[in-house]
Amino acid sequence: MTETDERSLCGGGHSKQKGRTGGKQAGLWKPEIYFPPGYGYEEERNAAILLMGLGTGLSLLFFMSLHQAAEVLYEYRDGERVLREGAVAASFGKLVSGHWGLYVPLFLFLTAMMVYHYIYYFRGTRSIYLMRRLPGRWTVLKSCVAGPLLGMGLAAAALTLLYLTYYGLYLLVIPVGCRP
Amino acid sequence: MLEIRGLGKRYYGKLGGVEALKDIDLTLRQGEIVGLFGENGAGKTTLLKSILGFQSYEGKVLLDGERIHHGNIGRLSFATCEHSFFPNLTPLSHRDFYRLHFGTFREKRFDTLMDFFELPRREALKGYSTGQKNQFEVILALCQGADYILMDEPFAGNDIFNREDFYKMLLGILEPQESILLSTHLIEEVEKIVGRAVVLRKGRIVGDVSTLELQEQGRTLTDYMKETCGYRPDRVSKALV
Repeated sequence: MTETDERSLCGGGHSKQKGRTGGKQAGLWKPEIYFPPGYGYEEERNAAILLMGLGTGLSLLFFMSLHQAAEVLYEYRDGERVLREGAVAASFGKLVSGHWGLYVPLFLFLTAMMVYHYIYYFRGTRSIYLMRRLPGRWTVLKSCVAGPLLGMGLAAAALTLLYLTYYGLYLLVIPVGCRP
Repeated sequence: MLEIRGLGKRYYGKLGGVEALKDIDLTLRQGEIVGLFGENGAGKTTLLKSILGFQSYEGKVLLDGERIHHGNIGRLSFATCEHSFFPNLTPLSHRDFYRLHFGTFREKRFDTLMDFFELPRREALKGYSTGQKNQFEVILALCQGADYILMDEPFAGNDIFNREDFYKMLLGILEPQESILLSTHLIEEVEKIVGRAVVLRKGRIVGDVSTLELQEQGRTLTDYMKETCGYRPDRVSKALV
């Protein structure tokens, strides 16, 4: 990881004394507020995006599984594609399982980053001494976990969206009578 | 008033427990400048870190009768030779950070000290020299707006002229309610600025005296240190025989 200048100032925390949130001060849409001050978050963000992309890419194999599951339901009679009698497709759960494998490294990576963010406060200087003296009780914790938790939240949202989309496709492709 | 009552600290290692501090009783009143002296390993840094709650300890540290917690820790600031700033940030970013987290931040003092030491405001601190880093560390501690400023060897690595300037500046800018607990080995240099000297030896307070009292007795702080720390001037000659 590299650290660059002029990064986050809030460390995900806020001053109770001033009664205003770091988010309001720096803008909630600014990624730096979810990381320790001065932390170069770009590499971490890029690695997370890559892992999420790979995870989503792998999940697209569901289409192949769905296609195969649908195909076995049919047979060709006189060149016509007809539903096999008594054919039952694999369950959605069975079809979708195994396609989320690359999301596991993403979650592990983001968990490791929480620890790394804490270690960051011991690199170069002992900025942990400053962080621990801040009036906000949870400032250190927030600065360590906010970014990875945000990443996990986005990954979970992407997972849910994909899952629902795939389930919709399953309902669309597999006839009612062939569902287990 | 910062009160330390019966403070003890023990480190546990493979060879058993080491008593780093034992039965420390110390009171720091507002407006006092107290020097904390002692040999290497006497427990000075451990004491300061215990006061700030960076490590567990036995006993009590009270700030105006209350234990130190997140609600009042802003009344303490800390400058350490290990440095506690963010090396990737510029001084201006630190100013914004402090302003955000410490409602008492002294911006005018910050500007005055930055100008006085001619420190570049837009350069990341990792690019500063050791002397400049020390200066900035102390500037932050002085500008936080704390009532009690704890310093642990803040001038290690600074040249004599630099240190002289700092002592003068310190005496000029401090307000009556601001107190300093300064841990240093530069006894002779700080003799003129501290009003009281506390000497630690092997984790215990072995001396606590006002510098005025020493002056009246015609003794220097170094003499007092030697007496309280049991310095043996003949040790070297004996070893060389």
